[in-house]
Amino acid sequence: MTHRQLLLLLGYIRRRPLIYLPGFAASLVGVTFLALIPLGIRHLLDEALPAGLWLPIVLTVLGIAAAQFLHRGLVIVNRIFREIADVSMAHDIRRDLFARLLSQDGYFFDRNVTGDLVERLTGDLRQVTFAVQLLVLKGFLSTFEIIAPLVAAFVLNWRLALVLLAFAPTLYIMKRLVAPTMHAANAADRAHAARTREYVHEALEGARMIRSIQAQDPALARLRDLNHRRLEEGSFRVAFTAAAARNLWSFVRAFGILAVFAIAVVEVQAGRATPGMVAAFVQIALTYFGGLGYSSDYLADYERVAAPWRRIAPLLDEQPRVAEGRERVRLSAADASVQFANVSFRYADDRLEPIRNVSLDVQPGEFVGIVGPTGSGKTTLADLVLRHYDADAGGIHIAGHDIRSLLFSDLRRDVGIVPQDAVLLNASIRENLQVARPEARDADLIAAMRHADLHDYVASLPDGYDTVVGDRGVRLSGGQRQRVAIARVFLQDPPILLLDEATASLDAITEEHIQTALARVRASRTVIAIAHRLATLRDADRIVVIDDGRVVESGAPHQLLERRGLYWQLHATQFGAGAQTA
Amino acid sequence: MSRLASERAVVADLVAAMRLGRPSARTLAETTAIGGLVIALTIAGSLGVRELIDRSVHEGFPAAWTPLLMAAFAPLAATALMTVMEIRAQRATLRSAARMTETTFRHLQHVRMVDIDPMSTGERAARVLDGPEELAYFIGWGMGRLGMTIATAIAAFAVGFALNWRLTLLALAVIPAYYFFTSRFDYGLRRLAAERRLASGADVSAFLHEHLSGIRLFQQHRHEPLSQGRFDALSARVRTDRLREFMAGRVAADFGIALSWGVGPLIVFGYGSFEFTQGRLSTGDIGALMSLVLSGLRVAQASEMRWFDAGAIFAAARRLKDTLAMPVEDDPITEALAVARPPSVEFDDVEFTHRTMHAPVLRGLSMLVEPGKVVALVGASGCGKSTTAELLTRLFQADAGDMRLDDRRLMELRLLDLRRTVGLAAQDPFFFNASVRSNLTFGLGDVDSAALERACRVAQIHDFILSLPDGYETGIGERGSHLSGGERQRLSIARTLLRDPDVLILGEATSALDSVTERRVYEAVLAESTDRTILVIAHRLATVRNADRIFVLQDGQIVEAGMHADLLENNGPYRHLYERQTVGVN
Repeated sequence: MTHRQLLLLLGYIRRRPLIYLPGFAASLVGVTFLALIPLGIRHLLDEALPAGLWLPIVLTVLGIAAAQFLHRGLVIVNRIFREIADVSMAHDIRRDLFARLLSQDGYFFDRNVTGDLVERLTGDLRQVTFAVQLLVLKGFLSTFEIIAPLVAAFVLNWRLALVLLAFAPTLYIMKRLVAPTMHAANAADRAHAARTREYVHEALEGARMIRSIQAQDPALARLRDLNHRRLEEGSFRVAFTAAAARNLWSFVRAFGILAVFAIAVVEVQAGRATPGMVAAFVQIALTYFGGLGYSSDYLADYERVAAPWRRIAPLLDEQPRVAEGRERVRLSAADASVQFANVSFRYADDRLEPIRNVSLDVQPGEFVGIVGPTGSGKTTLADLVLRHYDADAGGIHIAGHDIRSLLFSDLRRDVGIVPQDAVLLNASIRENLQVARPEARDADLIAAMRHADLHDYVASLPDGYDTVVGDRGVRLSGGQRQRVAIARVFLQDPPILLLDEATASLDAITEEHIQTALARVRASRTVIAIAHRLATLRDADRIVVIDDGRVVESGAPHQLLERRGLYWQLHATQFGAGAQTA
Repeated sequence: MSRLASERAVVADLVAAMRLGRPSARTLAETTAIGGLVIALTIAGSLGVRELIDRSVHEGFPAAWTPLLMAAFAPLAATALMTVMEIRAQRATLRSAARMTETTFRHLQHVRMVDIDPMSTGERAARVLDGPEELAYFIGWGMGRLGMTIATAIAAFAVGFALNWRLTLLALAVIPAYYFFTSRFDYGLRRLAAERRLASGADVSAFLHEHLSGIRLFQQHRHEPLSQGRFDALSARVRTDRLREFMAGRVAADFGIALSWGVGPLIVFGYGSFEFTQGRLSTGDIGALMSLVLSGLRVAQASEMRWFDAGAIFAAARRLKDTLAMPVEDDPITEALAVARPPSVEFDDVEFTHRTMHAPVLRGLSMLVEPGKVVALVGASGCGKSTTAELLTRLFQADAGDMRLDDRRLMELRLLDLRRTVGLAAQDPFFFNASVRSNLTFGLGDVDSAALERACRVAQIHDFILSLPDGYETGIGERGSHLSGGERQRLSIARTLLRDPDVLILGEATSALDSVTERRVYEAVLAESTDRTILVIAHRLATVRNADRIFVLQDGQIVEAGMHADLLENNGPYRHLYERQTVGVN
């Protein structure tokens, strides 16, 4: 754990300091009772019993039992407050993590896999908070479990007490020696756990594909392989090192008891100790070495915190590369221009075609179509306008404002998008629409769905707008999912609209309905439509042809046809020879 | 349900779960053997302590060495053995958890589509990952800790009887008291609390999964504050549920346990004092008894924690049982049966209603695809075109009517054979976050690179793959998100072709391709498929104009069929669709 990561963790403890107080108090008082027990035993055996008086005997016995009972009770109180601190801390960290994730950009989500992130917020976090509470509250408790018997020991016989004290460092040294092995095992285990969760998520999300190709057995084999590797490289080693480290104290105890009794024999012989005192020392030694064992567990507990915390803490510190601006803006249709000035962009891993020096002016109210071969970088342009990424060079302005200076909330309110892959939540159709406008009433939803030509279908379902659409909207067809996305944009009502293959999976008739609806709202909107189907763009004021990340042609559709370039070529294949000559 | 019946059901759940975890008989035998040794060593240690206090301290060395070494090293040997047991038990626990994970995973991969579709990915994953661990703890505990507890208890009483049988008999009275207190736990209450906690935990995973994989939707609609609010509420619910589970029925039981801890010394010292005054017990006896009581209680403490977990264990067992009780896909045939290649495909009066949507999709669909022909199915979006593919691969079962491949009813084929015969390339294909190669060859074992490249060439994606930084070994991101929609669709076609199906269904499989690429894909697929029956599902008519036969689907029925030119002349629904698509472009 780095210094910074440790500080972050301490910050969460400091956030609710009062939660720890009752636990600490319970430990302190409880341990006091623990210290009284051996003193009581010695008193009973050496004084009360030989004297043969009943009242002191009964009182001492009751005292020992009561101290034992109260100590146990206070241990339980400590445990309860440990649980409260655990769940509260988990809640605090979980919320902060989620807030961090919500503000991350495209770069971050390219690097991080969902399953892995989910594991960090669930499995890793559970382990961190549990072990932190062990460290803080149980660690504290066991420190006193060492101190209390030591105090009792000094009261009884300082030579014996010194022997006990001498054994404490040995254990800590032994534990330090095993720490690196424990660390490696824990880190490997967490990494494997994340990989397993990621795979299980994927293979269950793709359950339909897997059975379509009858690959259930290979899918299981892969899980078995992952499980096997996690066990062999992680979990088994964690179990082994933790159990070994936890029980190292019994070595120290063996030699400790050997030393204590050896000296006790000498002391009794010399007349400086009594048999009752030796019996009390049995109890002291057992409690002391037990406490030493527990408290030195902090090394194991520390590793249990450190490995998962190293996976969580960087997320809390992660600053998005795309920084939000501060300028407020409210565009109207009249000034909703979009301007790309020499924009270049390259993905971190070169996985998609880069954008090379694209310049493009879209006037308010203009309808610009962007066409080009698959993978030519069209979608990237939309991602840049919405600031999922920032251009490496050049700039993008809307209504004359550099988009980097704007608040995300204003930018994304004024620039709407119908994405290529509509995201649907496993929720009702109503909730899926309300994502775009939470306060929307049913009448608004219905109006938007009418525009998107999906209302009649939804109304025909027995549960209407309450119909739950299944995981990723699986119960709707591709076209229907896209129409939900279109309805969302109607609800959002932005002056600038990006259509990324918005109607790619619609049939001709539905598409025409939507085109009509889009045409209706287009009058008051600036539209950039990315499409490879030219029919979608028949009303475009201008078509920009992108190839290899560059603008290669630009102009009104009929001009481009005359030019007989790439546009003409695309057009010819889509509409055939007959269409060309018509 | 009566209390007894419900307890019986719980036990049955648990037994079933343990069977799944398969603790081996050998492990149990070893546990018992080691337990026996631990008993012997514990007794030796206590006797050493007694000897020391009563005699050795008076006699001095060298007589003191034997009891001294016994008192010091017998417990060490016992701890070492218990550590071995603990590690073994842990390994068994972890293995059981892995096995249960695998069993639920396999089951979910075979559960009927109707049942699994409505479940979110997060919930599916929670069923596989989150229950087994708790159950496995129980199994590991049963094998490791239980044996240890029994061994220690026997040791304590054996020594006790040897020292003073009256005192030991009295100490036995603690057991009913202990059970009285622990039976005050309301396991039903704890189980309900645990079920609630498991459910809210699964909700958190599902919520996170949905939000993180669809993050742009929320960012686009400035939904972050609302999402955060919902997550905070969910997180607070988890906090409350965990606390409730922790506390459920706990206070009374905890009080009782603390009382038992007090009663132990009370009996040992109280009655011990009486025996001492009668001269039947020495100081050393009391010291030895106390050390036994202490080590006994430590073990009891370790095992009693597991009783508190019982609620969670029962809840996890029930969840596991519920998951495994979900019906699997109907696959009654066991014999492999080959169909002629290429086969004919026939729909005969097929009716189908999606159970979750309740809206009828197909109403008496009939169509015949002759062997080796290329046939297109066109119609409005949502008219049921894609459903035909789902029925043909038996992802769903038709409500009425028959479907045949090469004159065999689909139900006469094993699912394995059927789905190998019918290959489906879908509009919105799924991919693993893995390399191009492992995605394409998933489930096929070793695939020769030439065959892989051939399939990719046909799907017009080979050159693109070569242009990637690591070629076929390049990772494509979650769900293939590093690729464009068109690239994913072409990969999906390559994946299907690589499996060389007799019947190829292209279900809107090229909707995201530009028209030049789309045409090339079709030409290459057709050239490659001389002995294949092909069903193209499309709404873009340009895609299908060269098909041998075009079926027009409307309201769940075929309303028109024929070749492109004939259908245009017919002046029916097809021509209507066609005109809509081409008008205004020229």
